[in-house]
Amino acid sequence: MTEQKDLLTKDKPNWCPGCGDYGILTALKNVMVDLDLAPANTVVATGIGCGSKINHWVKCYGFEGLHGRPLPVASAVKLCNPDLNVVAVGGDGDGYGLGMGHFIHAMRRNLNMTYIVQDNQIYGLTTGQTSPTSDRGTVTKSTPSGAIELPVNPIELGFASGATYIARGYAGDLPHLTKLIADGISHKGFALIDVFQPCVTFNKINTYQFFQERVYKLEDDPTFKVAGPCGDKECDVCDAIARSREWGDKIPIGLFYKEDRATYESEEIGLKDGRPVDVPAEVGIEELMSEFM
Amino acid sequence: MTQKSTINILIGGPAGSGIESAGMLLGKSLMRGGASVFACNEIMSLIRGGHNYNRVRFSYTEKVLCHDDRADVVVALDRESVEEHLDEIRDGGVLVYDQDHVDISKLKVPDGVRVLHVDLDEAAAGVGGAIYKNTVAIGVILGLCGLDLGNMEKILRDTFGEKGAEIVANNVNALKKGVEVSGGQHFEIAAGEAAAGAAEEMYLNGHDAFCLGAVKAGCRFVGEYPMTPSSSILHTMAKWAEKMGIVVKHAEDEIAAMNMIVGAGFAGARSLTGTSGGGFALMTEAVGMAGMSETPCVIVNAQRVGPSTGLPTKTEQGDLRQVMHASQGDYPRVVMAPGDPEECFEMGFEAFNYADRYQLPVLVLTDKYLAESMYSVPVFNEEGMKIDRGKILDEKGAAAVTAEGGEAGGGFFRRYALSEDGVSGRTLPGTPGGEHVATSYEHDEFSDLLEDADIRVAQMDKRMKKMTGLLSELPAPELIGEADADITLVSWGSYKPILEDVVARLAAREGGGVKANILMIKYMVPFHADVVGKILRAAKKPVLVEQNFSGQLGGLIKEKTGFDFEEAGGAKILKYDGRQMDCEYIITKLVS
Repeated sequence: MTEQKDLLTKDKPNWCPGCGDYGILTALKNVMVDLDLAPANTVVATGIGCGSKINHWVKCYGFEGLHGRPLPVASAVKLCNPDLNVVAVGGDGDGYGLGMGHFIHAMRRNLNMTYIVQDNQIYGLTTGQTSPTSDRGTVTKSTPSGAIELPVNPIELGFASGATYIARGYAGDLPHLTKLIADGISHKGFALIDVFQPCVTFNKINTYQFFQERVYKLEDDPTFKVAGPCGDKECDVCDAIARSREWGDKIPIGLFYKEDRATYESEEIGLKDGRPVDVPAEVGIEELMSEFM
Repeated sequence: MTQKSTINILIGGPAGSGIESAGMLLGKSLMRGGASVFACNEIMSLIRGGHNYNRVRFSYTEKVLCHDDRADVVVALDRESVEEHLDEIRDGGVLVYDQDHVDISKLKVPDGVRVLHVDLDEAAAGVGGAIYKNTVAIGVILGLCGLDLGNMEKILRDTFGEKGAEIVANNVNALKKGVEVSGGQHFEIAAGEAAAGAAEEMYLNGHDAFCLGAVKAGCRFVGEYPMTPSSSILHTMAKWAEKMGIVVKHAEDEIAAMNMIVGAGFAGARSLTGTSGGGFALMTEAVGMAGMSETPCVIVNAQRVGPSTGLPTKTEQGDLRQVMHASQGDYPRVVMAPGDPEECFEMGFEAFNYADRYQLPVLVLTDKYLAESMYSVPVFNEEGMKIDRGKILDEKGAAAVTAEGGEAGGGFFRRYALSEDGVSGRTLPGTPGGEHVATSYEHDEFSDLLEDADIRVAQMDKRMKKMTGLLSELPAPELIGEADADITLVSWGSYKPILEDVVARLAAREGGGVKANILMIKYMVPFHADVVGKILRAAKKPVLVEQNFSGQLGGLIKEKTGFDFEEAGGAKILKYDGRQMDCEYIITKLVS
């Protein structure tokens, strides 16, 4: 059984006191205990950003790669060893800026993995510039006159791109976030969990107080139904998309969409007879050579 | 009849007219008939239209190593092919053309060239339709050469059998029709030994050979994005995916492809990507990450004409410096350049061993010429090829490099433990007790991100130590041919067989042979500076041969050894028009 003590690391996190990343780290560790994920069988792949250092502070296998690129690394790890629990973690700049292409393609691929985005609507590690999820008008070092672009809506992109588990969490609500991540990891397919993660140093707008006053849980609203694929049943997708656009006095968190669809690895022809990580002692190529004779 | 020992055929036509597959079928049938064959394709970056041509060169008495810009037979399927290649036909050769396409009376046909008008459309129409035109053309070639149709008929059956008996019969009839309209045998080709060994020959290109080496090495993950001329690796590995258990991912871009193969290497698979210069530019950052995180992976850069989009379907050796210096900072890497299919196979196999044993990216340079040209070669010898995965630790092995005690209770694996050879033991995900973070940041032995100067220096020195081990292990370059030569040809990559042909032809030159030998550089990083310097300083006339503008290998040699070709009374033969030099070109440059 995995216990909290098994997840301890040599060093402790060095995030700013109060950073939303602490909540995400704690939730992830709680999930590893709750779901009994063995550290040896878990890989957390990250990019670059404050939050991407998360795999240094939870004991498991980790790959800390390049800015914007955790998803290709994580995807390949899963494809080479589908027995591993694979979680990709990165910030909003990492995933929705540089990594946007990978984000969309990873969702349509539907590998059985989880993507947690530490979404603080600002660039923290580079000391405060506008991010792809910053609101229009946000004044930062790179947009001193205010951002004049619209923010991306990752939840809506999830719908458009074929993610099979689409959720939004809030780092200030640990039990709720823990459950969202646990359900995402248990889900057989690509789980997107965008997490509001207040940056206490550089984002003075989207603060804990900002979210505390606005967030509501979708599951608490009896009129909301978690959407699924539009089949012969009544379609809930339009309502779920409309909810994902809510931004103002009320901002929803929770599960927007869930679908059971064949995973990429279950259909990958190269995985029918084993895993790429099992490199044989010897490979005979006589039959292949005969193709050229 | 014209007596010949080697015949060079050129089939030219518009893109989309199937001349590449016609050349492919012809080459394979000649190989099966016991001939030594070389074929190459010149295409334009178009799906249809433009001027494409395929050269097939064969002999039953000599080893055919490379292409020849002169032709004995030109089969022109369009006007442009006549105009472009008429002057290339040798005395005693034949131009096969279709009167509908060109008014031959307006062109100057070289002396001694026979003009053979064949109405391919009409001939094809008689056996089932225009799609059989290329088979008729093959029949014409076989007729002119007086060759038996048996091997070709069998190939047509193998190729078109699935499409039904009628299609096969039409093709065979088209072939016979071609022989009929060829007007009889024109060449008397020197007969070789009985074709007993033919069954042990393969007809393949450099990338086919490389892929065989990769599969032999246990490569089971390919992440790639299509780009000419590297896509053949993606296609071949995808074709073998099910049979050999290879996961082949056509990624969304080269950045993803490269990051994927690093992820795959980290997970424990032997991983590969292929690209060309433009795609490699996108991969660059992640190549450095493989160096920093000490993750094994193999990258093929199949060079084409640069910079930028350049000439996408033409050949060049212009990416040596790009690959040698890819990514910021210093990190250990191997840069290698095989020169022919045998080397593609052997070095392709070894690339994965070096990647695993030294935990670094191995960069393989090929080019359009090597990647796409077809060579007949003996079946590869698999004996003695051993997969060596290097220092991969199991649970017990991990425990030996794990720190005990400390505030958190210990049990922390030292992924980047300092070692004599610079290589640390690594664990693969799934191994208990080996949990660690592989990181793109500078780090200490435990992967922790510390910016201390001494840790930085210790880790940098550790990584760069790998180059010492590699240099002592990689085979040093050796002169090909006699040590005592008047000319020493120095080159790399796809020029190997061409220079071998040059040496043979120089020796056999009328009016007194010239003795030449060859120094091929197969490993650029790390570089055998002492050996190369010694060989070159002893050379009477060193001549650098490269397919690029600046002589990139020459620059590397000068940087590493101080040897300068011009100062030493040598010469440089450089070409950068996208067309590989043939023997004749090089010989003319050498003796002029």
